[in-house]
Amino acid sequence: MSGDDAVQAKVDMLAKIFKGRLHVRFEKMNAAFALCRAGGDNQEQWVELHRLLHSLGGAAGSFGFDELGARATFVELQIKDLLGQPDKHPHDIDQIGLALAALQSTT
Amino acid sequence: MRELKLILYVEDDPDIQMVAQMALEVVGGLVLRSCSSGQEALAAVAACEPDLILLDVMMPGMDGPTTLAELRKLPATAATPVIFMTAKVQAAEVAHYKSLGALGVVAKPFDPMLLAQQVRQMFSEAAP
Repeated sequence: MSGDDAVQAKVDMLAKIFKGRLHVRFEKMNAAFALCRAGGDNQEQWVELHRLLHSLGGAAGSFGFDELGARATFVELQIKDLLGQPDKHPHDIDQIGLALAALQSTT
Repeated sequence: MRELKLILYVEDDPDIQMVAQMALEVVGGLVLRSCSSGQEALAAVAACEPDLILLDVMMPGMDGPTTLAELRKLPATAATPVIFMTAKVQAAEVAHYKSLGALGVVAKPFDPMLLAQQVRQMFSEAAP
């Protein structure tokens, strides 16, 4: 095995670990989204959900999961648009829910 | 010209930390001291004198730019070169990060096989 092959094997192993832990990220996102949906003064939860998606977008691409990363970034940008709106429209919130479900079906 | 050996790496995401560590240490032959937050980095610089600081932009609590401002107040890191890592790499965004004192910006997601090369290049281009 050449040096590059050995490094690639390590990257592949790390990617497997990343994929195996994805459910933890999704659980955190779902929990944050449930609180976002609950209404009230939940700006912090929207910020947290945005951060979780941003983090997933950055990580997924580095492990070679480009589609997952692109979908995470897509939802991240949708949420960024919503962050500045004090009264979030229920339809927009539903769209986020659908996008999160689509994201989780990518794997 | 100062040689690049030790990097202080500040990133809150453990998976990204893991792949960056592999990329910089195994591929790049560098030594990494990883921290999970800006606060941890501020405490860590007392015990290590990094040649370079790699700083994630979006972190909970203290973000990258705030961490950089705090690092600049410490004598040990007042002039240490800093590179930001972020997904926000449009020209205006990169110019903004450079205006804060960063050498440059590494785009996320990054290619683990090329990260060390990118970092070395930015470091050498900026070295006196």
